Amino acid sequence: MVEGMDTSKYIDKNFKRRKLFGPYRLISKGLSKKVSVLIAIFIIAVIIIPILFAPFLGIQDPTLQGLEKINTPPFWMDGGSREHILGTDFLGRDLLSRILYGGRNSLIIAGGALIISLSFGTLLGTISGHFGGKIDTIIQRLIELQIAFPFIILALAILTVFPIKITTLIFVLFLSTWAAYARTFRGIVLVETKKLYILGAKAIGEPEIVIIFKYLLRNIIPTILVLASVDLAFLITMEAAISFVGLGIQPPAPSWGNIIGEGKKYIDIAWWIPTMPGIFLILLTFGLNLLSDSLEK
Amino acid sequence: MTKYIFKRILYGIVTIFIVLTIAFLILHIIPGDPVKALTGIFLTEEAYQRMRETFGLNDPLMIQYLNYIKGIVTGHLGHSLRQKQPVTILLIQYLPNTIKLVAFTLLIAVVSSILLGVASYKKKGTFIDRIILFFTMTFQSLPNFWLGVIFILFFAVELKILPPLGSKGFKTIIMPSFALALGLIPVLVRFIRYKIGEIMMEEFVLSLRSRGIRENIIIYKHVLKNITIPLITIISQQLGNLLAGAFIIERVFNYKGIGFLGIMAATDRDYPLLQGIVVFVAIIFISINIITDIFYTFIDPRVKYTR
Repeated sequence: MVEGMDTSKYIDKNFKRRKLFGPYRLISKGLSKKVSVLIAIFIIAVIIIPILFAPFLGIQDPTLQGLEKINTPPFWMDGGSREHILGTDFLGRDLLSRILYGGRNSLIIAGGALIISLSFGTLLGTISGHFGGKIDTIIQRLIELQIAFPFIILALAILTVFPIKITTLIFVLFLSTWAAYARTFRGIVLVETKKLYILGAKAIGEPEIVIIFKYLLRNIIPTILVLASVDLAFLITMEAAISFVGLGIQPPAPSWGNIIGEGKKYIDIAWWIPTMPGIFLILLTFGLNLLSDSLEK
Repeated sequence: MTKYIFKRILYGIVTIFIVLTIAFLILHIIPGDPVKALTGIFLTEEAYQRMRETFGLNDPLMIQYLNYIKGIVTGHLGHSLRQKQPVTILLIQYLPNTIKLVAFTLLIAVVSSILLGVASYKKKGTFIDRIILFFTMTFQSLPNFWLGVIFILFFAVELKILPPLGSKGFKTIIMPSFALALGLIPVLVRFIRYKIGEIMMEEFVLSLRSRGIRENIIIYKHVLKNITIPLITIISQQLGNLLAGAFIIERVFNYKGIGFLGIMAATDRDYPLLQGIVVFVAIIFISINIITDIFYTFIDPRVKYTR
């Protein structure tokens, strides 16, 4: 990297400074960190709370078919009713309840994969960084391989061969994302290990395991939060993609992916079926990304 | 330097082998009978045994593995169960479409990102910049398969100006490419915006400015030339994601490419075809990685010293 300087100050430019006040300032300067975090949490809560409490909300059974009322539109359109706020799908099932229950299924799988991925990846990365040497090299190579490789190929292979169950899906998702954690934490460990408090602990003779758990891991919680938020968004989207092509959660069990996938056929007569789950997905992803971005600063 | 190239190629071949072996293991430890899956239960015992022989299922695992490797090297990737054709033929048929898709996607993505990235840099901190960055973050959150469905809804169903499905003709490639590109553009725009800022700090920019060259020409002509290599870097990093996205998008649009073939193979439980696709994509992908790496030794002499 060549050392240089910002030579733009030598240019005679006509600077137009805009006066920054009011709502314009808000958009132009962006929001402060705390506000961002709050907005993010709000968005996420709006989506996740109904999902989590779906069974207690008294909404319809998502698998209850009503063949006399297939493909009815959402309540704000002609032919819609308040009984089915987002309309019904091609088998007369209430779309909103399918979306909410589908969100549950997607969350369970993505959340499970996240927790396993996090634990495994963090542990592996910490071991790799802490012990170094041959172990480090091998683990590093594995990390590189996983990050670069389009995991979808492996996912296809696994999902074709093994029966599609929740555990299989969690495993596939876990495989696609553990490396990000491993790589990050390996880096952190490499930095922290040189610091005094670790050397001090070693000097008193603390066993390695204790060093790892007591000191290193405790310092990386904030980083975990940042990574995990984005990762959750990624995993939910991945699960949706897998279910979309029919290799994930199988109908009649709902998942955001398979509602979109099955509904795609009816897009000309019932556009709300594939569109609505996507909106939920986008909101959740956006909220999570926002959360991660604002936590980072 | 030749030693480095040699090491890279070796490393690549080893990686390919590992991936191939993993693929083989996955597809051959299946607790199930591929013959039964193919033919159902109404089969005489001798017909059953004959089929097993044909597929080589009675040989020990090691022999099957060696035949598998031999097949790959000679280009015989097996026979598709569902399509009743040799896998290699299918691959050759479906590959050009995917190449067209990826090429067009990259074209759209690179052109748009450069325009947007430069605009974002020039108006850094202003309204336009914020808008661009905001849309960047938004599009990155979008699931690209859903975006594809929305495109179909809008352009094919409502406006009726683009075909909703298929792979014949130029019009069928537009929506899939845009859907894919919109996932790539945010990453590129942010990168370009940052890199241009970095490059503008270099000394040659000072010399250009002192000669009185107009700012726009500096940006578009000279700085852009320096962006090419970092751009290639980041694109090759994103290639994996691009390919994965292509698989799903091809399914959304019924676009007959390798991705479509792969998804079909998975849903049909067509093991030989799936194996062929995994092998093929793995080899192509890892080879591209190696070639890019080696390419760098020629471009940036510093690389070979840091290894």
